[in-house]
Amino acid sequence: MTDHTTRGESSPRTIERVTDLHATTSRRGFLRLVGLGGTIALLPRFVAACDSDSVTDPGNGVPGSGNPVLIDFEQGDVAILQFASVLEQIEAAFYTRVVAAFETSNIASGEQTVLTEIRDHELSHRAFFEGTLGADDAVPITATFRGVNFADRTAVLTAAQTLEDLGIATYNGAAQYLTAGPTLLALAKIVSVEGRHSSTIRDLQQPKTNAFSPAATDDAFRPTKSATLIQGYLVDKLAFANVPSAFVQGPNGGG
Amino acid sequence: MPNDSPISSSESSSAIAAADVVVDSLRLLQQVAYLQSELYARASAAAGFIPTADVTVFTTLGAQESLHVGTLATLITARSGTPVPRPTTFDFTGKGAVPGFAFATGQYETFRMLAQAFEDLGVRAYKGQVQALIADKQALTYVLAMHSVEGRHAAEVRRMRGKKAWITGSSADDLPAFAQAIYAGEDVTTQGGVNVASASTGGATAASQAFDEPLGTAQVTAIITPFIT
Repeated sequence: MTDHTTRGESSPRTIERVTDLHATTSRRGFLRLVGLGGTIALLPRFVAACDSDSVTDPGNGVPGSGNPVLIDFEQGDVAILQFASVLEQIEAAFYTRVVAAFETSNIASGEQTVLTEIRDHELSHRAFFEGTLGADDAVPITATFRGVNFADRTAVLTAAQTLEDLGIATYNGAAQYLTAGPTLLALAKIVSVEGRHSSTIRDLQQPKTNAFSPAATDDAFRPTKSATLIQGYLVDKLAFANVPSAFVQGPNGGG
Repeated sequence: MPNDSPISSSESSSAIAAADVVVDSLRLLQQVAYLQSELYARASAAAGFIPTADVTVFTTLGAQESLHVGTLATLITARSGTPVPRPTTFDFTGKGAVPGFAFATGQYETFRMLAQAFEDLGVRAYKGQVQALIADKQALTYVLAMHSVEGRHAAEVRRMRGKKAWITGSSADDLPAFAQAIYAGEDVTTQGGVNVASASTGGATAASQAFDEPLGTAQVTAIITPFIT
């Protein structure tokens, strides 16, 4: 069921100045251009290994093979909310598949309860961003989890840990670009719950060790670093415009 | 620590006022971190108090809370503030709120209750300060990096105690009465005008669990003061 497709083969394109590419006066105008004619110019065809049986699963599309999803940081806080929305859609899709596979998986009932609750949390997070962004700013995506055998407990928990830790680092790093206090608080309300999730998933794998919290401080990734990793979970082609050049590192550095 | 604080070298009065706000936030969090680290230090110092199977977890918690104290002190100093000195006396009965508690034989579960209370408090206390740090990106990012770790800590202690890793409604579980203030207002199911309770079959239960709520400076101070004399 697994394949050897590497996540993150396709890095998101970073567009420094949208106006260099298309003389447009509005973001929506630009998005239409991308959708209609700019796709190939902006987003070179993604070549991936397609020799795996998991490709045949409709939920395991090739990362980056789909339509572009553009997040324009010139929109300010909305762009951060869109980025978070992409992340929460991926997490919600992941745990939805985990729960859907319970009938054939080797995950015990107690752990099924935990994973079902985490799924419900991620559905709440997804709904929050959808509701906050509204239809005009929505960024619907199609998630993909190539190489994850959802019938296997170890595979599920390993993938869940990676996803939770990526979410934490993404929130912790993106928060510095927010200008509205209430939006910052909303993200903080979510990220500590992702911390609870990661701790739980880690403890399920290595009970009562130091695994639940690998360091006194969590990572904080700049959006482009997060996006490179998030791209591995997206059929869509994630693209950024007007990414801030400045990034203030967190205590762990390396973001 | 990088010396690139956005405001540390500014001499304008507004920047100084902003720095004062940041320093006040960091100093509050330092007091919370002292309380947490001292709890674990006392438990570890009492021979045989922590069962062998649980020692690794509490050693990890104690070490990371001590690092939080130091990280906060460094941030404060870099902003020309004065770190909070370690309190000379702690009272882990909370002035009688936890009667007779003295890290004694038979009181291990009370210790774990305090650990749960203080870690869930940590999550809410750090969260309550993030808006005050919004103009100081370094302080904000460092505090967030500790804040999500508080979430990890709280989850681990809760799970060790056989509780869910997340807070349901405003339930203080089986904790002593003083701890109810730590969970007050956690039962929110509408976020930013969005009703998140209808997002899943988990309903209001899942919606309240999915978002941790902040606690303000006055609330946090009222909770910790009886323990720090």
